[in-house]
Amino acid sequence: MKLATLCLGFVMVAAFVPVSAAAPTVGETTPAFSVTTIDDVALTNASLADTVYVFEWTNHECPFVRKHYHAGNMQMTQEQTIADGAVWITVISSAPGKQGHLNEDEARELTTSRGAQPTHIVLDEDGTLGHLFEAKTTPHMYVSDRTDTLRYAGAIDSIPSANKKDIDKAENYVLAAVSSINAGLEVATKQSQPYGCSIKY
Amino acid sequence: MIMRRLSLLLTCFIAVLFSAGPAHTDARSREIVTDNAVSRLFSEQAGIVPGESVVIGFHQKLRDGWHVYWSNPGDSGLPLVLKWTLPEAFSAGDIWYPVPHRLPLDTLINYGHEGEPTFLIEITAPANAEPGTNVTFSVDATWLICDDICVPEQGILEISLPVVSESLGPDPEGEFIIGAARQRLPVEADFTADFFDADGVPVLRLNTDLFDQEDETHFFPFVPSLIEPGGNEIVTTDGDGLTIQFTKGFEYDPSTIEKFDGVVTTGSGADTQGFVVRATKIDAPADFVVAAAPSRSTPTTVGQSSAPGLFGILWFAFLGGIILNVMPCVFPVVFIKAASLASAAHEDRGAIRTQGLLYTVGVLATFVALAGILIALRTAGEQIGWGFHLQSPMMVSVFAVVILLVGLNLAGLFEVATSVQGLGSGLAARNGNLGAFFTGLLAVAVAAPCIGPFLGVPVGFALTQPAAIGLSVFAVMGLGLALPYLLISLIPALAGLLPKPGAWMETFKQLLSFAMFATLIWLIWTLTLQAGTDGLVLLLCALLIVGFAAWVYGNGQRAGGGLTSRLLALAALIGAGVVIADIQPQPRSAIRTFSLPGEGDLSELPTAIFSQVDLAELRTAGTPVFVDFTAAWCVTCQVNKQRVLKRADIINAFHENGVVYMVADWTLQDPAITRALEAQGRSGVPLYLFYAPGAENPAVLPQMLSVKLMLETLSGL
Repeated sequence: MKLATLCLGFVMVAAFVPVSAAAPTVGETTPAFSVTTIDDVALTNASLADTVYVFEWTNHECPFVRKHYHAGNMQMTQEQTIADGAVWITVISSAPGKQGHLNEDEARELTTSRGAQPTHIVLDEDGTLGHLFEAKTTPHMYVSDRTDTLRYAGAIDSIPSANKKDIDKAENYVLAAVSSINAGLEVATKQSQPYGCSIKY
Repeated sequence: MIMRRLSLLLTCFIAVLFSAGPAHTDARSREIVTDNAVSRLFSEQAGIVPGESVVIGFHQKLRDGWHVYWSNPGDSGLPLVLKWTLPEAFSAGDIWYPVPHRLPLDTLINYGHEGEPTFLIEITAPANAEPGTNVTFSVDATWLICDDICVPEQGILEISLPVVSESLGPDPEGEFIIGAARQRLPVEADFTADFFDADGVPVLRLNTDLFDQEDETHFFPFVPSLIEPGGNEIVTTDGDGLTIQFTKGFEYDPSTIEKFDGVVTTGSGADTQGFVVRATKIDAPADFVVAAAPSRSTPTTVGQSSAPGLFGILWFAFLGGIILNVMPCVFPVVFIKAASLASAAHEDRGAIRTQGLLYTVGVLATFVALAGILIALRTAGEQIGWGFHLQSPMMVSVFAVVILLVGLNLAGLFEVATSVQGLGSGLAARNGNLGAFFTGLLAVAVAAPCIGPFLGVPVGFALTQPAAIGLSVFAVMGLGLALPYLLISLIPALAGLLPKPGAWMETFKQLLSFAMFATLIWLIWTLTLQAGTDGLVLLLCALLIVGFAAWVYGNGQRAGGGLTSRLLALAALIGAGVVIADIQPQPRSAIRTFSLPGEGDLSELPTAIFSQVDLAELRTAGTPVFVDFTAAWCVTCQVNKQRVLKRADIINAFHENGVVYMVADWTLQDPAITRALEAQGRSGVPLYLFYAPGAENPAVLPQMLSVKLMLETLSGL
């Protein structure tokens, strides 16, 4: 019987492994996350309760990210949404050795040098947070409201290109989503095809 | 007179200059060289006729390993943008894209083109274009080109053509390039297609028997976000056609969607064929069942030759299962069980039949449970493959204990009336049915470490399929394992053929115990590679304690009774368990120095540790690479290494032909290697790949290597 226990143990040990979480869906609760920022702040859905928050996936070497930072567009979007009371979380999901991977000091330095002002920076080098949100590109943007409902997922704006000149002609979906949420309105564009470089998981 | 002739000559001269001068009309543009591509325009026709069109090709030579994107780029990327500057009233049409390919990157799938794609554009001249003049078409092209990283590139290209009243015929070079590009365009499907919504699952139905499942079939929708590029793409065929189920994208709304158009491709590599399908919406058939599938994307096997079909795979699985019966670790268990049937031949046939069936159920349940765990783990995102149970030193130790106990039992140290192999013949002798079930379970438990060369392909296939198909492959394998015993129990005549039990049985059993101990040596060796000498000492202590437990227990039996000895044995077994729980994985510090062929110690293989980056560099440099996916616990791998790879003439051949020997060691779990295996449609080792210089895809060598084949492969024959 001891042998049976061992054999059965083998079969059972693995049977209790949790199954993967559901994909993020706009209009439903934001996926449950728990991350630590480079400044050791623990962020969870609960810690951001009653706050509008924005996730931004970034990779400073990606030409699409450079487009929005060199033109000052991403910094402007951060400034304006934070002024409207939102929390901005910049996530770097590049794996070690891949393009865009940074350590904590490098991430701080980058933030200063590119004049960015995210509320928090999360280094997600094992890709857990990225896979949880099914983030695909840099940039890839997510906006959640005060009830922790995901209200927008997709591109930063409406013109997929790597050309700075297109920014002025494009509609900034993140600014639009945050202002609709603050005004108590439906978000007009709830989801869009994200464009950019693939995330270097 | 002279003046007139002179002016005529001058006119001719000027006409020649303008009409034929290469600087002004040439059916191709200059090459634009950017960091990762060389681009050029070609015209199919040497001139353009008023009111008619010419086809212009935007031809690109992409850097090796880099790609550009299809009109729907998939999960990331951007398609080509062409901004034309044309003479007044000329117009340019949409871009005709070549047949797209799937380009996987981690969990993402992009749609695009590698190598030398040509994008075609039709330019139409107005009816009032003036023959005798030249027209210049200028295009500002921007494209995104990526390998792992992405670079936007741009170029302005110009092509000039004469306007002619009658066609000048094709331009030879342009006709060649554009003719080849026309071959790469998807063709309008000559079959109908439907689509329907099955509870939020988009399903495409192709009413043709043109495809069979053996071909890789993929769908590329024209509209982005209709389906998840990296989601499911479950292809099933029946007599009349083929059905593909997808994971819906966010733009998919079953209530409003009317069109489901795109390109269906079949085949792989250069043989890929593409068909434009325009599916009409129908109601979901009442009998349609959504196939269960892993939530993760199935790995794509880009550029791989077509795999054996489902029935071929099932047949392999079945054969492999039968062969497991004669593996050194399985044979004793099954043989002893079968022999016990022969001795019971006079007993109630019904009881024996029930036992045979229950044994089969035991085997199947264990196999399917194992497969279920494996599939569930993979669905949960674990990067594991077959053999995962041997990647944990603790599991290897548990197997070692099981094998030792079975061996000691066979050797006669203890009897099985009420204990260890009581799972097997003991319980069977006592109350039959439960015992038969557990013998099945035990057979799989001892077979698990020995799953050999025949099962690599079926298991690899099983893991890339929807769960239902995957489980059935494992079930068929189990059926093969159970078959001999099942047949003996069902057909009395077969049991009669077995040698009559007698005193020789005892001797034979003792002999078989050595097969168990041999298996034990291999498990101990595997553990040493996984957990180092610290782990080795712990396992040997655990085995010593288990041996002691078996001896105490056997002694108690012989003394007739002995609750004390049973308790002591139990305590010892628990002690062994505690010791095993302490075994920690200890990856070998395997970073040997990279040794190039023809350098360093010529009596050793020019070995490099597997890395995708190094592999890509070596391939770019034109160095041939042989990749050996191996693991210490993989018996076939060890056999190949000793019999073939470590032979002096093979080592010489590596050095002489400048081939790098790259080792991907999967003894412990390694997600990077698991992904590399999956890219080849495998989920286990061994796998041998040979990357010839400049070849797009590796040659896949058989799982059993031969010296002749290796020498031929290495010398590039």
